[in-house]
Amino acid sequence: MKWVFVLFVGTAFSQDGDVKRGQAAFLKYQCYTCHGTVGQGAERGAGPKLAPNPFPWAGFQFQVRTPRQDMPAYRREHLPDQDLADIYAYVRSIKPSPSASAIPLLKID
Amino acid sequence: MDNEARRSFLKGAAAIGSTLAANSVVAQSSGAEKEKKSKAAGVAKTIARPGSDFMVDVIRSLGIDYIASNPASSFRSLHESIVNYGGNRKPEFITCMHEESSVAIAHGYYKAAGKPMAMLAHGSVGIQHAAMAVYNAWCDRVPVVLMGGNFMDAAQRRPGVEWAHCSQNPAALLRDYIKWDDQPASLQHFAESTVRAYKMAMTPPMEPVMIVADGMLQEEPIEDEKGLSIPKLALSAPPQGESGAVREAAKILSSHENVVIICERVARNQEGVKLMVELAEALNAPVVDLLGRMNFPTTHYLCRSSDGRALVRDADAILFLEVADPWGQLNSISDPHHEYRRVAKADVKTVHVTLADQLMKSNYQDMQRFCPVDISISADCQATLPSLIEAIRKIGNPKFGKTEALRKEYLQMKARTREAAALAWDASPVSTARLHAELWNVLKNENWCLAESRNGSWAARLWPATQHHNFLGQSGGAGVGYIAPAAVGAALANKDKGIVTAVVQPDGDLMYAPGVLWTAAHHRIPLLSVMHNNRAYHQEVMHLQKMAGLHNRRMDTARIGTAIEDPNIDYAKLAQAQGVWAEGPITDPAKIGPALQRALAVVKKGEPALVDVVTQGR
Repeated sequence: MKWVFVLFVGTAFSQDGDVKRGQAAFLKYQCYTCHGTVGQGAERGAGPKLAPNPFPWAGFQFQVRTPRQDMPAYRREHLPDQDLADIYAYVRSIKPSPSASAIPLLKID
Repeated sequence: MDNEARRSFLKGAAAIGSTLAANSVVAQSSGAEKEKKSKAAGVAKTIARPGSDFMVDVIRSLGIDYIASNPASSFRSLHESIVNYGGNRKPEFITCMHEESSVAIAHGYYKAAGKPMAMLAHGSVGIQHAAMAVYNAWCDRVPVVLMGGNFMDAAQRRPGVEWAHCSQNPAALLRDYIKWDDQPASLQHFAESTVRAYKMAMTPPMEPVMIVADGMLQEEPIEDEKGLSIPKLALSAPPQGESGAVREAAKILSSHENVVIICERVARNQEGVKLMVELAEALNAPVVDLLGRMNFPTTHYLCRSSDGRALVRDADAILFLEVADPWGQLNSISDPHHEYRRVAKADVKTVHVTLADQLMKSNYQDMQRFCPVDISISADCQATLPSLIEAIRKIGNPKFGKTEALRKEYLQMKARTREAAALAWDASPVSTARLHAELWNVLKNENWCLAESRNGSWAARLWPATQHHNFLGQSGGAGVGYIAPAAVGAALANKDKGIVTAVVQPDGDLMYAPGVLWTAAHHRIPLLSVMHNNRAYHQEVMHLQKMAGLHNRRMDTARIGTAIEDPNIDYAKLAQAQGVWAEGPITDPAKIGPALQRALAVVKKGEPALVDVVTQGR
C-alpha cells in the first residue's frame, strides 16, 4: 500500500527533472554540505541521508521549502522550481551502495 | 669548584658578587654601579650556578619529562639550564613553533600519559599566543604546568623589546581559566609554589596552573644553596561522594525500570573503565559515553552511545557522571530558531556526580545552562564509583530480565551503523565512514590510540575500543587548532609504550599552526595523521546556509569566507617540507588502504607520517 502511495505521489506531482543538471544544482546550492555528495547523509547529525529511495516528491519539495527541524529553508526566489525538480531527479537517480555485509572492511567486531 | 668554594670566589670578587647577590626580584643596584664594580673586579663575569639550575631541580623533582616551548629571552637562563645543566633529559626541551602548540601538546600528552608536562611561554606575547589552548585545557579539565618568563624588576630590563615583553602580572590574562598561579620572588618561593601548583593541578577537578619564573631569579647566582629545599610532593586523594548521598542515589537508580548512565569525563585510567563496566552491569543499564574520556568499552552490549536521544526520552532515571552539559541531554534548542523542546520525561529522576560546582569562574561561560537534579554529589566520579557500585549491589534488583532485549538493541545499533557506513562507499570525495574503516583496517592489529575522538564519530561508532588509551576525547573548549598539536603530544607520550597513535586530522585545524608537523619530525614523534581534508571550515559553511535561510537569501554563496580552496592546499607537500613522510592528496578511495599501510610502516620505525585524503564534508 505504501508503494502505491509513493508511485502515485511521485507521478502526479513531480516535475520533469534532469539528472545531470540536478547533480550540478545539488552542488551549487550546497545540498551536499549536510547530505553528502551522493545523498548519504553526514556524520554527527549534520544531515540525514536522502538516497537511495528518497521520500516522495511532494514531501521532498515541502521539506525543502518549509523545512522541519534545523534545515534552512530554500525558497523559490533562491532555488527555482526547475532546479529543485532537477535536484530531485538527481537524488532519485542515485544507486544503492553495496550492503555492509558485502564490504569486507565493514566486518568489524 | 663546589658550591661553597664558588660562593667564596664570588664574594671575593666584590663587584660582581654584590651586583648579583640579591636573591630578590627587586634588587636595587643600578647599571652604572654594576659596571663600575665589574671593572674594579677585573674578573670574567660568569655565574657557575644560576638560579635556573635550581629551577630545573624543582621541575625534575616533579617527574616532568618534557617542556614544550618556543624559545624566548625571558627564560633564556632556564632554557640553558635545561639543556646544559640538566643534559636535556627529564625534562627534555620540545621545540615548538607557537605557544598554542606548546600548550596543546601538553594537553594531548596528559591524556595519553596520565601525568602533566610543562610548557614555557615568553612574558606577555608568548602567554597571549598560548591563551586559547590554555582555555581548551581548562574546559577539558586537563592539568598543564604553564611557566612564563618575565623580568619583574624594571631597573634590570634591557631597553626596547624586553619592556614590551614584560608585564606586571603575566598570569592575569589566563586567570579566568587556570586554577592557580604565582610569581615567586625567591628560589625557595619558586620551589614551594611550583610543587603547590603541580599538586593543585593534579587534584580533581584537574586544571592548568601557572608559575612565572622571574628572569633575574633565573640568571642570578644561587646565594645560599644549603638554605634551599624542594618540598616533597604528595598528591591529594580525589574527593569521594558523601556516603548518605551515594546510598540515596543507589536507591533511585535501583528502583526505576528504565535507567540510563550518561558519562563524559569519568575514567582516568583502565581502572576507571573497569569500574564503569561494573556499575553498568550492576544496574544492567545502558551507557551513553560522551567520550570526554574513554569511559566504556564500545564492545559491551550496554554501550549505547549512538542511541542517546532515544534512551533519554524513555528514561525513568538518569545517572550523569561528570557531564559538562546535563541540561543539553534532557532538552534541546533548535538551530537557528532557538525553539526549546524537552526531550526527557518531565518527572525523570536525575543524579549527577560532578566536581563542576567546586571550580567555576564567572567570565567564560563554559559552565553550561543550570540543570536542576534530584541528587547532586560533589565528588570525583572514579573515586566514588566503588561505593556507588557497592550500594547498588546491596539493594539488588538489577534488571537482568532485560538483558536479552538490551543485547538485541545493541546489535541492532551496530548493524544500523554498518549500513550507514556502507553508503557512499565508493564516493569521491571519500566518505568519512570509508576513511575511518580504512584507518581501522591498518590499526586493528596494533595497540592503538586515536588522539582525538568524539561521540557520534565513525571511530566511536564502528571501532571496537576497550582500552582507556584508545580514545582521548576532544579539546574541551572547541577552540580550533587543538587536534594537530594534541595528537603530537599524545604520540610523544605513547612512543615508548608500543602504542600506535593516529589522528583523523581536519584541514582547518592543522592550518592554525602547521609548524607542529616540524616538531613531530624534529623530535622523531611517531604519529599517523590522516587528513580529513574537506577543503573548508565545513561547520561554518553550514552555519552560513542556516543564516541565509533564516534571512531568506541565497545559499549558493555559503562557501565565501568558509572554503579552503582556490588554491587547494597540498598537505603532503606541507608535511614533506617539514621533514614528515607524506602522500596525497588521495581522491580515489581504493588508494587509501595501501597509502596507510606505507604510512604505518614509517610510524612503526619511529617517524611521523601523513596521508592526505580529500573527503566529504562530514
